[in-house]
Amino acid sequence: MMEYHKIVDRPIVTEESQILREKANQYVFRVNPKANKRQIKDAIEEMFRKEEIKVVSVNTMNCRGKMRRQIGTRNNGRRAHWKKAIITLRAGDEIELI
Amino acid sequence: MTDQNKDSREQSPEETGAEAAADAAATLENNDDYTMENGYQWKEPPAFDIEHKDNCVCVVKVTIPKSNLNAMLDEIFEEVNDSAQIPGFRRGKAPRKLLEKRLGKYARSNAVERLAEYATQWLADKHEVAPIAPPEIEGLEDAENIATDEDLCYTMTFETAGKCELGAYEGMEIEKPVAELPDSAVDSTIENMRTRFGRYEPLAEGEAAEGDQVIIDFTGTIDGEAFEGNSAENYPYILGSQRFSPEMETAITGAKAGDTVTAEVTFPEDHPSEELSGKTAVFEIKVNEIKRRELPDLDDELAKRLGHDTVDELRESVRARMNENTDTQVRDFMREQARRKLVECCTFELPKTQVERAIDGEYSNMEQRMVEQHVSAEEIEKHREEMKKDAEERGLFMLKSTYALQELAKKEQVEVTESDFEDYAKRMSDEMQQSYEIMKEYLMSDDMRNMMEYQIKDTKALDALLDKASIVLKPIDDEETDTDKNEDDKEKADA
Repeated sequence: MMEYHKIVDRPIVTEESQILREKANQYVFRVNPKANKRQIKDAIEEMFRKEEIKVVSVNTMNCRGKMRRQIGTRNNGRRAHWKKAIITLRAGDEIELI
Repeated sequence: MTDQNKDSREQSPEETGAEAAADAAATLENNDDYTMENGYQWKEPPAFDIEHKDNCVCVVKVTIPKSNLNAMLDEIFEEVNDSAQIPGFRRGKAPRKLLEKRLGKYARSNAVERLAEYATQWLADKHEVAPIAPPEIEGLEDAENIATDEDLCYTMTFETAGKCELGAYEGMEIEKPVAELPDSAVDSTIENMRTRFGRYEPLAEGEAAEGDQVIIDFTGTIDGEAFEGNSAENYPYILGSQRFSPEMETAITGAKAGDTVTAEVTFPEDHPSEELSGKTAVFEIKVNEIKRRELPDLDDELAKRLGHDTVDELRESVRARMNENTDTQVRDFMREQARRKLVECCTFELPKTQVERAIDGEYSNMEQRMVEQHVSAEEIEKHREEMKKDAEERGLFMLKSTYALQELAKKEQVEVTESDFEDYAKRMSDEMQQSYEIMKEYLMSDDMRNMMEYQIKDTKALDALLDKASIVLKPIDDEETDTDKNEDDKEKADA
């Protein structure tokens, strides 16, 4: 099994994620694209062991990296593809991301 | 809120602190409004522990209750939120927590800064202790990481404005110089005017005398050899103007047109040209023409040229102008006396830095003036000590008189009105020979207006002082005033 810090890259803190958090107790993370939902669940629970949280469900999606043009050359590249995970916590549980 | 305030009051150990707190309590009982003039509203007013030291130095321990800090932080975050760009959020939509993480340091130091400023203002408003320069603050070095759950405590050290206690200024003796304007003074002024209208007329016969203009050719030699600048032709020279050496003047005086005279001139040792210093030169001077100054007759025609109808009118106007001149002089003289006496009879407590600044300013002014007058650096260096002493005296006097006049103006309720400004502008326009409109526009700009207000106020205060003073008439020797006036009038005539 991959270690949890290799699975969870970072939380995504945006207006949208704040709304999800307030309305559905969901938290958004950027995760390793190779990780599966079960691994993500375990990793999050492990990361926030102190808070004794319970992950109810994990939704994931693969996001394609954005195209990036190299000015002055013909080499166009792109940002890395990544995976977004939306984690729903058990009602009443809470974690601190900011 | 009231209870908390009581607590903090009981904690303050020093007596003065208790006093200050008592003051605060007084305001607290009177009204619950802690709004400042600039609109800021204290949640709880700050407490001050004021300690006065020598030389107007003031040490104040300030305690600002924590509720103010928190309220201020809220305010700042609200302000910041509208402008801060946080990735992932539209402006103004970022949560407070995120803002605090990103901009906490800025907000805290800003809040502390503002509170300290307001507290100083509050101190000035409520306790009448106002710093004249930004205070030195101790205990706020770590403002960025200040704890929000503790009261804000720090110490300010600053200088307050100096104090002046007016002495018994009423009934001080002021000398008023009195002098009857003698006819001779008027005459000599008119004589001066005539001289200005004089013309040089060629003199057919007769000898050159002082005051005459002679047209000369001259050649000078040293041991038979010419030197630079030794000769000229048809050179107009006015005898008695002393531009040439006295030997040459005596040689020319008494000569007739067409005469040739010689003069031996010994150049002084310190003559700038090395070639000439200490040498004796022989000048051969040929007088081509002698012109004598013809003065116009003092008649109505001359009066007309000077803008008057008759000689009597001219005489009257000259007399009036001279009288006016002396009057202003006398008035200025008396004001200056009053200023000196006022400063003498008052007691002062002055802040050290202000005194130093006044002295330094005076000194650099003096130095500047000397440089403008082309005094060499060594010369200045030589007189440095003297100048310093002088500057000290004058700077201190100026500062003192400023304070004393301020105090006096307050006591005598001197006000500067719009018409005072206009009078001043009118006088200035006369003096500077500028049109009134231009002068007024120039003087009404904000900077000038302030300066003008000070000047007018000072003058009016001094006048008020003169009104209450006992004036001692003091006749002046005629001779003295005579020469004075003549010089004055010459200046006027020249202008």
